[in-house]
Amino acid sequence: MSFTTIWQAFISGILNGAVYGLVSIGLSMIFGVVKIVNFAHGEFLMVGMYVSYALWALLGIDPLLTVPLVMIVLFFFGAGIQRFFIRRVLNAPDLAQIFLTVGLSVLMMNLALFLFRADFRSVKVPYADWTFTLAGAIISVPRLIACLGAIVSSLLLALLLLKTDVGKAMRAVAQDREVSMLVGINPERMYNFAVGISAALAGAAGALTISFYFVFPSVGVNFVLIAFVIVILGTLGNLKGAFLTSLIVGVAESVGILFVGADLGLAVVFVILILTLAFRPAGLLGKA
Amino acid sequence: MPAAQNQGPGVVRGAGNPEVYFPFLALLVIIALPFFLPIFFVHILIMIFLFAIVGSAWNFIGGYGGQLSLGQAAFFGIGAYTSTMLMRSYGLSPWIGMFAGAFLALVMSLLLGALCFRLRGPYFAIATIGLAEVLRLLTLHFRSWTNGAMGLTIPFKGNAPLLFQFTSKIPYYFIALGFLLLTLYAVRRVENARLGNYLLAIGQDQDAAEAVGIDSAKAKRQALYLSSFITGLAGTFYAQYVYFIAPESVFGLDLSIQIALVAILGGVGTVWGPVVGAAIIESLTQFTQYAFAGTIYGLEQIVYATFLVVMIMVRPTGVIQWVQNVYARWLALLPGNHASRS
Amino acid sequence: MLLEVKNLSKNFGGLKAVSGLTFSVGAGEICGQIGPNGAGKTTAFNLITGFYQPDEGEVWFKGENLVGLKPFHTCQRGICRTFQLAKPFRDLTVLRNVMMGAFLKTASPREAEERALNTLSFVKLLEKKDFLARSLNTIDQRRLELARALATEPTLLLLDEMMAGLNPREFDDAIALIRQVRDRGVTIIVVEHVIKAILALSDRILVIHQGTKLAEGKPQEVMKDLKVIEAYLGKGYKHA
Repeated sequence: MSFTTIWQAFISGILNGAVYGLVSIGLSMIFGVVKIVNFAHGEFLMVGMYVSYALWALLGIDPLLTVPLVMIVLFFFGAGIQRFFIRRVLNAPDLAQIFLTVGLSVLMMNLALFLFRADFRSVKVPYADWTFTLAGAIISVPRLIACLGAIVSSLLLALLLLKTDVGKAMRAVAQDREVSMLVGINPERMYNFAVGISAALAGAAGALTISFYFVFPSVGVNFVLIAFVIVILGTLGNLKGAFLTSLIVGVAESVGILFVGADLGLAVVFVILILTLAFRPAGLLGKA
Repeated sequence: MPAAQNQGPGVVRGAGNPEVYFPFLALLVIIALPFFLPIFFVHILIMIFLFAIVGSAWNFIGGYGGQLSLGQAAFFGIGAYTSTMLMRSYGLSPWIGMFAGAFLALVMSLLLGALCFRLRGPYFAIATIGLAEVLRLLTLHFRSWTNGAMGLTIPFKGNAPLLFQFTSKIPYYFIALGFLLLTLYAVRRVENARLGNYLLAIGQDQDAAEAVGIDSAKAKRQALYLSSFITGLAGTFYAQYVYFIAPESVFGLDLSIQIALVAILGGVGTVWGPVVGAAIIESLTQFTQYAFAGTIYGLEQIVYATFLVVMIMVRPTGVIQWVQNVYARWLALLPGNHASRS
Repeated sequence: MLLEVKNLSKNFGGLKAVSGLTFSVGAGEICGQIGPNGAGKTTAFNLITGFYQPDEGEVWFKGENLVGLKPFHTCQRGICRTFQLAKPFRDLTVLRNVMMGAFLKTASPREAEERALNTLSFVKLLEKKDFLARSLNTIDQRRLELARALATEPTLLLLDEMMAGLNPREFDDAIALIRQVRDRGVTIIVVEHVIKAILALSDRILVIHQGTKLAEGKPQEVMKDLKVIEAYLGKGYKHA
């Protein structure tokens, strides 16, 4: 186990982690604002991938250029899901809410299966094999771009939440729904926004990674499981925590794979989750 | 005239009362069914019984205990793999292997309880997902032991009751039915006992419960132990019935979700909820699989998921109330001395 | 001394909710605790019963230091508390609520039901035993809270502001009831804002201010002191 190998794993972990972060922040935000656990979040990523793929396959547009369009499409898609489905169970027991999103997840996955078959598709871009080295670690350019894209998107989100009225309104609803109504904020609209933006972020993650991941109907499943681990570890609703934890989990996964093999990578993540929660029930950073 | 039996204040029941005779009749019908129905329907009923059992087991921890478990497959899989591996390697009868498996599942739940009991809500749920996934991945990984993704088959021994194998579905039917009735009885007993009451209180207000001396962690752990043991037993039954297990089929998240769904759709925290839920979900699953599988990609799942989504939006608290109303109205239509309350 | 609290302290991020609180309660007495809002009275209850863990100090009860125990432990050892805002099990019946307390002493549902019925009869809530807890008015909810606590057969009962907002008749009933509880052998600590209640019930009074004991003694003595305290605090207290 040389230093270079570990350094390589560390770098890969950071690159992966940033993308996980993009997915996780959205998931955490939906929980923070709408107060529900969105099991269908991985499917936002999946839809983003297919939209990007379609644009590439039909119009020859480079996936990275599709990101803004994908985000727009996913924004309305996510807001629509909130408006037409999630809204109906906001007052129902938590269990019902969770299982609604589970049902939506299965539905979306199988609609994709029905429309596009189970084939693993991939996108060929001219820069797919470009790499450069950083102190002995080989960095793949598409992955680096995805990582940077994720970071930029997350920063844009932060700007949105901190500086714009919409962002502040969403944060208000997340903190106290009743009081935010008193100051004239419409929580329903904020829910639509929150889910829309989260979906857009997940979709962006899809479009960013399509140049080096396969596209298939259940691609969202693994992402969403890791995202859940991250969101819980980073404390539900805590967006900074989510992004930070993503990087930690990304690195832990990569380094763990060095020791137990790629097929157990996810297992490593879960073991970390269970052990962390055993000693810190509210997450890495959390207060209960 | 048959003697009236007093049950509870003001209700006089006799054998002429539909509330009393109808369940008996229904039971007789259920017992007779497998001899008349086509095999496919017997299979559906067996699956309904199986899922009613694991749904009820889920109910202990998820319904009465108030802790969302999305990892019941962990216990199911442990049961299935333990008895199967013991049988393949040592020829141990699955009747015994079943209890070994259930016991191991119980041990696993001890571990889960010890590590994760302070967790609430989604935190606990994700931990249970994690447990089942880790077991699934480990089972996939240690190929030399478990044959990995290819799974394990139960060696076919023909009709071998001592080895928990039958060539006809009918013995399986009765075993499953018996198992279900025992499970429902256990649920009812727990409901009325101190544990059931404590779980109810904890679900209402955990702090107030603690203030009157209720050890909520202990109560929930006990619910978890019951849940894991029963689910482990069911895993063995499944293995012996379908003759094949694989990590995805017995440890998979889909299975865990389906188990929880059975109780949630039927009615959480009720005795008959999981039974109703299993009846609906398994009929739907088996029927859509039969009608659509292999014809059009994913269609059976689409139908299934659409139904699920609609059901949850329409009846988020489960269908048991509605079913009980329908049942009450059905009873009222039947001939006999209806119960009079004084 | 049944209960001895020694030097109890609890900080909440810089706010000293309870600071060096020391007092004792003898078996069979009713100890009244008064003090302005935020003085730390409820926090003290939380510390004694284990809902919070103190930063410093000890709580000695029947020869054992309770610090570190969880709330159900302290209840099992004989201390039961009520909540300022009643916390009934809302979707359960009154009877079932009280049974939860009774289960501490028996595992048998039948026996728990019997004990619960007796307790309900004692607090005069028996006619409403099949009502859902959430349908009760505030006064009855407090009665229910009391009944549930009594069903655990506590040695020491901590009552948190049971008397707020009562009309004169309800007030007299409540006073009588609490005295009857004491006559059954239960030691009681009563936290109150209603001075009249404190004076009517207490064998001894503790004045708590800013998390620590300001004065202690027989009601008459403390009342004289009270005038001074009132002047100091400048608050309008209800006069006896």
